[in-house]
Amino acid sequence: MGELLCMKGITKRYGNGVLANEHASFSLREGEIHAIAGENGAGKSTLMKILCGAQQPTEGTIELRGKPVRMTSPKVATSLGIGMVYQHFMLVDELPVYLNVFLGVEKRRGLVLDKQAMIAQTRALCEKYDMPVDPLALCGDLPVGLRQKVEILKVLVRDAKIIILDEPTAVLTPQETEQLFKQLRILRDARHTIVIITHKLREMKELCDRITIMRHGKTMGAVNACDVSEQEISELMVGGSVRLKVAKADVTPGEIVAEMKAVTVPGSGRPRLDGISFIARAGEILCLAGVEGNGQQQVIECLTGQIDYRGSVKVLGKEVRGQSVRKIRDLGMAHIPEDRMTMGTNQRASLHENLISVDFDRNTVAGFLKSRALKARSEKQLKAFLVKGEIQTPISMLSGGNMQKVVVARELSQHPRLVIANQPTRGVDVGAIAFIHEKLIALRDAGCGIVLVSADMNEVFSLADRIIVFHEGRIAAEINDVANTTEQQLGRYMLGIDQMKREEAAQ
Amino acid sequence: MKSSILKSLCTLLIRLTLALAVAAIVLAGACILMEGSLEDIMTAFFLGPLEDEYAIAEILREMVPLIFTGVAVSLMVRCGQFNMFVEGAFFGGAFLAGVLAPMLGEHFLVTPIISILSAAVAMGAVGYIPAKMKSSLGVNEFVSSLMLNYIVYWVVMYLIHGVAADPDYPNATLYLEDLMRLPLLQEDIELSSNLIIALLAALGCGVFLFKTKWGYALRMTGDNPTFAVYSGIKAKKYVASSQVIGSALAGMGGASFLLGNYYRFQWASLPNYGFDGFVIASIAGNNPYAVPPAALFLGYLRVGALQVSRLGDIPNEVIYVIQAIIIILFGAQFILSRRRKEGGKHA
Ligand SMILES: Nc1ncnc2c1ncn2[C@@H]1O[C@H](COP(=O)(O)OP(=O)(O)OP(=O)(O)O)[C@@H](O)[C@H]1O
Ligand SMILES: [Mg+2]
Repeated sequence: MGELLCMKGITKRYGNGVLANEHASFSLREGEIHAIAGENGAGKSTLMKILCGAQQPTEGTIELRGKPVRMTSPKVATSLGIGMVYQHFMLVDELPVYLNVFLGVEKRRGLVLDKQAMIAQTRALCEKYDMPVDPLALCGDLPVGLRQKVEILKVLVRDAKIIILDEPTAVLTPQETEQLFKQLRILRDARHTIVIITHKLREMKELCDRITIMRHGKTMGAVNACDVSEQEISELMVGGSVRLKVAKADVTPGEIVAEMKAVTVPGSGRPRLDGISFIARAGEILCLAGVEGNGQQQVIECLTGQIDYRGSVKVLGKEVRGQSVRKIRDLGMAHIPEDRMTMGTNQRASLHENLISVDFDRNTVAGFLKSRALKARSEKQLKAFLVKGEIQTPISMLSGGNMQKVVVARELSQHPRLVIANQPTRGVDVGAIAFIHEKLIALRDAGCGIVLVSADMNEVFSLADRIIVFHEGRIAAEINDVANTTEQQLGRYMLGIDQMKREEAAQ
Repeated sequence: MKSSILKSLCTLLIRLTLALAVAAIVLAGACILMEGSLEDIMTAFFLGPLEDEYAIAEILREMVPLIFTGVAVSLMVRCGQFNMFVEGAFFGGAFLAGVLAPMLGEHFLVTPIISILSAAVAMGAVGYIPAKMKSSLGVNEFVSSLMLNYIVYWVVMYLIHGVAADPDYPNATLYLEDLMRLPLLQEDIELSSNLIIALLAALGCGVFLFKTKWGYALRMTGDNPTFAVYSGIKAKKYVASSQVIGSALAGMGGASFLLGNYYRFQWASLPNYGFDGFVIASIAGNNPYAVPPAALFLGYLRVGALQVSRLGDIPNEVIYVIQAIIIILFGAQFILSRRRKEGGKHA
């Protein structure tokens, strides 16, 4: 296989002085699937943004088929057949799928849009690559998995031969990930070349031909995926040994920290939650499992006081209904939300301002913030949670994984009695995942209750003491013996193929 | 904190240069049309405001209302609120001070200060109407506050024609004796101490916004209401209180302006200072610390225009054209940043 593309000596210094890439090099062979791995902030997204023209390198050259090229803008990259699906999607919610796909490259007949042609072509692409997307659906109504397909279609319609995906699996369930991989293989067989950024070692081994590893802005060379073990990949990433599994002592459940009794949340059509009852105890990690959209999200929203419900929801002994978020948090609840961009962080504020948002009013003298003490504390938290950034840095300048770590740092530093953790390690690198898991387990051992929602099977099995499986707004199973449950069995419950009777669960 | 001030001052400087360039180009254009002497006009416009102490005092006088309304608008916009009641509150505050001061009698400093504070409280209370309608019922504050401006205007017009009027002086409040007014800093050039109150207000608001817990909560609410609510900040409370504080500041501004620079209240129409507040706030990037320099800039521009109009070649209206262009320059960015915020809610 010949070399298709080559980046040499790429250095990128951002306007604020951060050196994101330092003499990095990268090469692609035609028709391969190539993974890029590295810790949070290693410069993966930056290197790929340079490749697709969204960022300009400070130094370095790019060669395509042996000829030097300059990616002065995404348009240039598109015309050279390079397209990227970004970590955070860019779709217009109010427009239907086919218009999003053709946004900026609309087909016209005379002066009017040629809708039929666009719809037909979208449909043809969907069939060719086996993507179940309705071209006429509104983008805003689609679940994340399908939104991602629309982003991929956008790239395909522009005739990209090289497709770059930035952490595409971070937002997907295991089933959706499988499906995506199938489509990526079809694409590869159709002579497309694919670059995928991911933190999941298993995916690299399973899907990719070669892996380029980055560390602190530099590239550590490319290796064949079949030649290295997961352990070796992670060691190359951090330059030392990493523990992938965390140890866990036996549970000693204490008092009830959260309780739902016959909770119903109406939805359009079938109820989002249909008579849900369960309890969560101090000193255990209770995992709410399920395919996305089966009610776990609504349970979290009930527990954190975001939506109205019928029935009874108690958090730390108090009924949630009618209570402000402030009151619930004051009882000792911490909440790591699923969406770090709009809920978990204020993108217009600094790291420091993001770190103090939940307890700033407890650190004041006569209404004035205890600025110095709070800043010292923020500094300590950033260090403790291995965030790469200064307290004054605007959070929008952080890499995706580092933003997530800021949210986790804030929430877990509150001495909580109940932690609601919704996808706590989404987009976080392996080392930091182990670190966050250790923190959660340490909190559990200290008698804190933890309610976990995660689409990552590894995470579920390495953390959960007990699993409740949701299917169509009901509880399909309650698994007390996690160690002796297989992933396959859990999958069957999640898809609604099997159902556990309540009596069985009670035993 | 320090770096954020520095940064905002830097961007301010860049914008000001841009605005000055626009002013120069428009003036040059007008000059060619009107066949005036380019050199005279440019000198009058750019150096005229520094000609003598009267011109300088004129700039400082212009600054006072601009600072008050600029700070008031900055505070509300920081919380994501586009409340136009600054205009009505400035007008109403001035009227109240004009009525109250003669009633209180001649007491050095005491009379003006009590009048100013009462005007602030009263206008804050009136400002609570659109604020509460927004935070509890979701009524758009922009529309309701515009309406409120007219209500306040007509109520004042009604009162001034009857109850509150000076029997010997139609359509005006009673004459303000020296001790009912704010003391002068400089007798000759009639420089009033209301400038000091204005500067203190800007400083106070900056401290409030960047150092206190309320200021922090207000900014978080304005930046991202979803994040604020999630964090346990009572967003509704800040949506309402930012508008109340803004209205009170504007009321205070109107009162200070009247008791510093006038002998009685006899405005017959809304003075437009509230709308100037939006121009100032956008030049200052909604940063209270940057409001006085921004006001100095606009004040300078206006006195420059006055000097040009004295030459007789170019009508004063040209300055409104320049101002309008500046509003478009800064205002466009203002509106864009708001749209981005609203877009963010869906994403
Ligand atoms: N717009 C920006 N301005 C300034 N610095 C930035 C900007 N974007 C990224 N950085 C910095 O550049 C470095 C590399 O960021 P990048 O997003 O490339 O990391 P990444 O490898 O994709 O990490 P992750 O796995 O967390 O997504 C980080 O230290 C980050 O803080
Ligand atoms: Mg990234």
